[in-house]
This record gives sequence, C-alpha cells and structure tokens, in this order.
Amino acid sequence: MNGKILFTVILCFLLIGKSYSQNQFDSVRYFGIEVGNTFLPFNIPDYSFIRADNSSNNNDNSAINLTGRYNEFQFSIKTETRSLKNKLGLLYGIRLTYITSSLGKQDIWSKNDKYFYLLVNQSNTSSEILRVNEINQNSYFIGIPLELRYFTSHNRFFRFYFKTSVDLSYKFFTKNDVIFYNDNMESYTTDVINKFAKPSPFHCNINFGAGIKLGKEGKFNINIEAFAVSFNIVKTNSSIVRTGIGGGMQVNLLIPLKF
Amino acid sequence: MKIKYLFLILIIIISCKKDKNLRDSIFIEDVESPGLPIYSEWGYNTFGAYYDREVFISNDKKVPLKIIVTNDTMTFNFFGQLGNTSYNNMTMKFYFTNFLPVNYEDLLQLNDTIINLNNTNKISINIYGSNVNVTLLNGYFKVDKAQLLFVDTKETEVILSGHFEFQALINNEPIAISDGRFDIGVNQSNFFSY
Repeated sequence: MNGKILFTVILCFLLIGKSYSQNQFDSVRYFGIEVGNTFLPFNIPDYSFIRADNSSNNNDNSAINLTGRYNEFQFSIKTETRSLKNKLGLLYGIRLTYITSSLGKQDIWSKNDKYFYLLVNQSNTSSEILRVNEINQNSYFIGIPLELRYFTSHNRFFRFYFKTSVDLSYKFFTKNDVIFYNDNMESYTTDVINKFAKPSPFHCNINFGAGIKLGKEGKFNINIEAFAVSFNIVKTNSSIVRTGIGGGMQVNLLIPLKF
Repeated sequence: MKIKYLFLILIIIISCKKDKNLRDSIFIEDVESPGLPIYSEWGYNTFGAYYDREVFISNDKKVPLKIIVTNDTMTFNFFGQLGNTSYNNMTMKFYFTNFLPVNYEDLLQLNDTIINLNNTNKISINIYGSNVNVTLLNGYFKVDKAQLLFVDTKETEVILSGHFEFQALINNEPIAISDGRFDIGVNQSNFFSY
C-alpha cells in the first residue's frame, strides 16, 4: 500500500518534471531555507523483554504501560521554479531530518523517577532485570525533499496553495541513551540498546497539505504550510516506537534570485 | 470556579497513581482461557484455574502463595477467590513430602519438575472459610521454570512458574480443577521454614 503511494507520488513528480522541461521557465527562481516539524502518532510494541506493569483484560491496549515520545524536525535548503503562469511550483533541495524518540514512564505531573523493568540476561535458572527510567534515541538523516505546490490564485500578496511532497533520506548518525534508576548500572547500556532492533537507515515521508504564501511575487516570501496527512513509509526510523499517520507544519522563507 | 477545583483534584489523582512493584499482582487475562491469568514467567504474582466452570484466581488482597516447610512436609498454599468476587475466599493447599527446601533459593531445584498427583498425595481446600473433604483421584503439579531473579544485580527472589490440574472428589462430588497456572515470586516474605 505504502509502496504504491510512493510509486504514484514519484511518477507524478517525473511527469511534472518532464512538463517543466518542455515549458519555458519563468524568469524568477526562488531560493530559501525551511524549518518544519512532523507530528506522527506512534505506538509502543508489547516488548517481550519489558515486564508488564498493568493488569489488563482483553479490552485494554497494553500491559507494559509505558509512555513514549516521537518527533521529527526538519531543516532544509531549497530552491523553487515555477511554471503554468506562476501557478505550479516545483521545489527541491537538501534536507537534514532529526528524529527524536523516547520510551519510559514519564508524565507531565511529576519528576521522572518512575521506572520499568527490562530483562537483560536470562539463563536456565536465573534472570537479570534492570530498572530503567528512560530510553532515548536520536537519529540524523540527510536527504532530498521533492515538493509540488499548486496556487489557487494568480499573483497576489496572499496566495493559497495545495502541496504534496516526498522526502527521501539516509541515516548518518544515531545516538542512544539509557537513563537507569540505579546509576551504577550504566555499564549495561549497550546490553539494553541491543535488545531493540536497529533503526532503519532509510527515511521516507509522504505529505499532503496546504499553505499560504505571504509576499509579492519576485520579492521576499514567507510560506506557512500544514500537512493534513503525513506518513512515514518506513515505520522503524525509531527502533523503540512505531509510527503511524499524522500531520506536520513547515515554515519557509524564500528569496527570489533573478537569472 | 468549581471546574477549577475539579481540574485540581484530577491532577492530584493522576499524580498519585501508584506504580506496581515486584510484590504486586499483575493480572493479564488469557484470551484463550477467559477469566484466568496468562501463563507467564515474570513473577506477576498471579495464579488461576477452573474449578469446574468457575474460576479460582488470585487477587490483590491476599498474598497469592505462601510456601511453608515444617518437619517432613512442604506446603504450597494458594490464597485467592472463587469466582469474580473477592469476598469469596478460597484456599488450596498442596502437600509434598519428597522435597524439603531450607531456604527459598533451594526452590531452584524444582526447575522443570513434574509431580504426579494420586491418592497418596494430599490436597486440602477451604471455601468461604469452611474446609471441604478432598479425595484426590489423579492429576499433576508441574514447575515449568524456577529462576533466581536479580534486580540491578541484587538477588531478589525465586520465580516459580508452572501448571497444575487434578480431579478429585470434593464433598463426595467429582470436581475437575483444570488449566491451572501460576507465576509467583518467592522470597523471605512468603517462604517459611520452621
């Protein structure tokens, strides 16, 4: 399903790119920077090596009773060319994506001194478990965003547009951190991390949304956009939580460059 | 103003939510055996069995298992409830004579041990505070896994996990205790030898 959507989106980009090559470019190309945040809902798998902490019957969700966090932040440098009388924009560039996720028993009401039990070693007649406050994972990806936006109106200071984008990235760094209830257990950090699968090296988000552009044509522009639907084809960019379909927000500043 | 106080009370309730520790019972219902806890090997301090069509299960109020070693007998005392009401107290005691541990660590020797139950073994049952006559017909009591648990490298307890089933004449009526399972942590708090 996700593969079909990715294939369709990339096919659209290729067809539009071909139409771009056949059309005469407008004289203005934009260049700019962008920051964004994607909010994807996530779930925590029922890890067999984490002790349940919640009595449950068949209607309950999870017995391990953990909370988590997942966030994607993006920083991009992009360029945009327009065609179809300045109504269709093709944006591409380079993007740094920072994904942060955590697993623990933290809540917003009290300081994080709660812990869960994690099984690190087991033999025939002995088991070793550790009290863990929190597991954090931060990954950095570098990649290429490909975006299309269609303006519903002609040149104005305020323009509304629809947008679709695909973001293909590759992981170049991951840092894991385990906060133990007992500080003396830090030597087990690698053992704890190895209980989880490694995060996927590829990252691919597909987004559908809309935005507004503020600024005159050929001048400095600010774009504020929201993704109504955003999903990560690779659900394992964090190895500690699994992502679903969510939304996102981006703000970019575009400066016109005359050619 | 009332809403403000209500919100404050809600915050206090959420803040006071108690964390479960190793002594508490964690009852995760078995989808395939409704009413019974899943079979686990984590030391969830639960047990359960069908008593004909009713359930005999552990609850949060009673210590689910006490192991008592006296003279020539080791007794597994399961304390729980019959049915879904915690007021319906029920106790089931298994008496074993072949193995007499001195301390709770000795229970590790029960790892992967099956004890066949027949009319030479003794089981006693107490329902709603009254002892009932039990004549054992057949069955077994199996410790699938006995493991010494270390928490943050400190020895904490022995976890006994296993299954049991038997048929018996209870007050002269044939009764089947079936699908029994237990997963209980044993340490100084529930192991007694005197």
